[in-house]
Order: sequence, then structure tokens, then C-alpha cells
Amino acid sequence: MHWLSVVAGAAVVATFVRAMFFTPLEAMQGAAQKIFYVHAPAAWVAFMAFGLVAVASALYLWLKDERLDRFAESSAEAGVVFTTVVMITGPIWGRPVWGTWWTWDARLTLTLILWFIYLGYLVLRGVIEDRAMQARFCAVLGILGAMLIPFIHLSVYLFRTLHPRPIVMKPEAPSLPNEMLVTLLLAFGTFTLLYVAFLRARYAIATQRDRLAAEGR
Amino acid sequence: MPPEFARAAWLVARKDLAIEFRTKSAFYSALVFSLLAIVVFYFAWDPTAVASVDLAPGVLWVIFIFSGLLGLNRSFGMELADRALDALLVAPVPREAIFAGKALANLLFVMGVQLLVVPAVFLVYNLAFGVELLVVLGLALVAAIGLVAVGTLFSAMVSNTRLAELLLPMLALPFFVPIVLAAAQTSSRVIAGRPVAESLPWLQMLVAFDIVFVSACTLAFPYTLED
Amino acid sequence: MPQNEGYYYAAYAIVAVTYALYAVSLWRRARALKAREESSR
Repeated sequence: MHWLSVVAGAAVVATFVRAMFFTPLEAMQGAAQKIFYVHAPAAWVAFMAFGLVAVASALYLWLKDERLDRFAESSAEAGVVFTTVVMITGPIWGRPVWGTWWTWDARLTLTLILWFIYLGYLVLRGVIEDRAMQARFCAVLGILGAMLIPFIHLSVYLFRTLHPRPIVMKPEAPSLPNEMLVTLLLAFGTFTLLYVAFLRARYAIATQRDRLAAEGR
Repeated sequence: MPPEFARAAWLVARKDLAIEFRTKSAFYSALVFSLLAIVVFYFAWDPTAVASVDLAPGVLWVIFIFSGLLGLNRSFGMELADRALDALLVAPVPREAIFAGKALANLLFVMGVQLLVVPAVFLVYNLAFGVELLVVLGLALVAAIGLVAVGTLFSAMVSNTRLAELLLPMLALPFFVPIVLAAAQTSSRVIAGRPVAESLPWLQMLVAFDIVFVSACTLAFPYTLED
Repeated sequence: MPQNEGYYYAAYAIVAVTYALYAVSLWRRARALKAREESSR
């Protein structure tokens, strides 16, 4: 197994251990607040991964280098994994802490739409058989998807400022004491490392698959 | 816009509309689907429990989206027979003009359906046939421009695949979210008698969406064709 | 303090399982490709 995978895996385990056993509980929200340490970093990676898909897509349309397409393909798949984590941990955190499984706030709504864009991207990849067409179409979708995100953000902002909404319990964002901040930053770092490990492995798969296909095997 | 571009786009649009008019079956299907949907929604969301002013906008824009998708599905489907798309590509017509023409034909299709469906919704939900009706129709036009830009592009991408009717909504619906939200928010205020100026931010977003995506989809279209 | 550890255990478990499942999927696909490469030599 590749060294990066081992290091990333160990780092994620270490983060979990630190979050669970070496980070103090938050008095107001209780133990459920710890979900934050896996939810927020996953969201950061999800959006970063998609940003990279969009950049790689634009570069691919310009430079036509297949490696850029393979990178986009890999980043999209890794990204959807993290987006799924965000979508699952969000409601599990929201229910005990906010009193509701779901709210249409900016971050959750953006992540939901991102999830759908990712899924559309992956389905489109699977359905277009011609390799070159697949690359081009997905590149277009990747770029357009990135252009959609600011409009979704604006939509949610307008919806919340212009629309009367029910009062939902929402804890004030506490200023994090050092120990919690360290755990959070550690999680950001290790989840990013995990993303890179997934990316490398997925990219290798894509490269080998394309090579075998080109050689007619 | 250079005149040759506009002329070429118009020719493509006319060709599509001529084909459509020969049978009109897609138009009738979209229309009948919309009218049936109004009936189904009327019974699904009882207007005796919730005021029709609150229900009508939602019904209107959901039907708008799904009848629009029905219309979009056919726009590249018609080129598959006899590889007509190849003939179109060989012609000395800029690729972007082909897109503009197809999008224009789709726009006219969608607006044709809306010109009948919007009054029908007003009728069923007992809304006044006043200035509000005209405002909502204008809103439908602005919304349709964005819908058709994104929908025509994605239609070009999925028309050759075996899951085209499923893929088109799957790809396009996230893009329709800002359109539907802006349109629903504006129309619900207008129908309730509020001045249009109150919905200005939504309208500005809608127009910005149209400008951004009409440009982006026009530029992206050549990439969806074979080299 | 509210007693809601159940939520956080569930969330952490699901996150770990999700990452693990994806890692396994990557490993299996890599192995299948390697097998394809060897068998077609």
C-alpha cells in the first residue's frame, strides 16, 4: 500500500482519538458539539475539491491535456465522498444542537446543491462512453457548476434577509478555547491529507484504466 | 451582434419551429401536461386550507420547470434522425449561432406554453386578471431565458445518451433553483398586491443569472459538439 | 449539560465507515485493474 495512504489513515485516526478523548466538552451544546470537528473540515475539503475540479476543467478545455481531465475526475469522486460526510453529519449535529434536522441556511444549502452538481457530474461521466466527449462535457459541467455556486449563495442570502422565517435555536459561535481550536485545525489538516491520498489513488486508477484502454487491453 | 450571426441564429430557430409546427405534438403534450398538473396540484394542495394567493406561485413555477424540461428534451432529439446535426455543422454557420437558434426556438416553445398556462393558473386559483397577470408573464419570459440557456446546452450533451430524459433534469435542476426562487418570490409578492419594486433584488439576480448563463452556455456550446 | 453523546458517536462512526468504504472501493478497483494488466500480457 502506498505510504501516503498509510500516513493519511493514521492521521485521521489520530484526529478522531484527539477529538474524542483529549478535547474538552462544550458546556452549552454537550457532547454533540464534537460533531463539528468532523463536519466543518469535511465541508472545507468538499468545496476545495470542487474548486479544483472547476480549475482543472477550465485548464483542460484550454490545454487539452488528458491528465487535467483525469485530475478533475479524481477530485470529483473524492469530493463527493466528503460532501456526503457533510450532508450526513450536518443533520445529526443540527438535531440535538439546533432542534431541527435541517435549515436552509447558506452553508447547508450550498453543500446540498454542490452534492447534486457532483452527482450529476459523476453520472454524466458514467453515461458518456466516448472518452474525449466525456472529458469535454464534464469540463463544461464543472465550470458551469462553479459559476452556479455564487448564485445559490446569493439566493440564500436574499431568502433569509427578505423572507420572514421561523425562529430556530442557534447557538452563538463560541470563541474556541485553544484545545478545541487545535483539534479543529488538526482535523482540517488531516482531512485535507486524506483528500490528497484519495486523489492520488483515484488518479492512478484513472491513468492505468486509460492506458489499458488505449492499448486495447 | 453581427447581422450574419443573428440571421444564422434566426434561420436555425425557424427550422426548428417549422419542424415543430408540422406536428405540434410536443407543444400539445407540454400544454396538456401543464393543464393536468394544475388539476393534480389543485387537489394535492387544498386551497380551502391554504389561501390560493399562497399556493398559486408555487404551482406556477413547478409546472414551468417541468413543462420546460419536456420542451427542452425534444430540441436535440430531432437532430438524431438522419444525422441531421452533421449537416448543420457542415454549413457555414458559426457554432454559437446554432446554439442561439436552438435556444431561441426553445424560448418561443416555452413562452407559447406559458401564455396559456399562466392564465389557466390565475383562473383556477381565482386570481384577478389584471396587471399582475402581465407582470407574471413578463417574469416568465425573463425566467425562461435562463432556463432555456442552461437547458439547451445540457440537452445537447445528453441527447445522445440512453438516459436523456432522466439526465436532463438531473443536470439542469440545480441551475433552475435560483431561477425558480427569484420567480416564486417575486410573483408571490406581486400577486399579493405588493409593488414590484419590493422584489427588485430578486429581479436583479434573475437578470444577472440570465446574462451570465446565456454568455457561458453560448461559449460552452462548441465544446459539446464532435471535433 | 444536555446528554446527547449518542448523536456524536453515531456521527463519528458514520464518518469513519464512509471513508473506509471509499478506501476499500479504491483498493478493489486498483486490484481489478492490476489483474487486467497481468492477464493481458
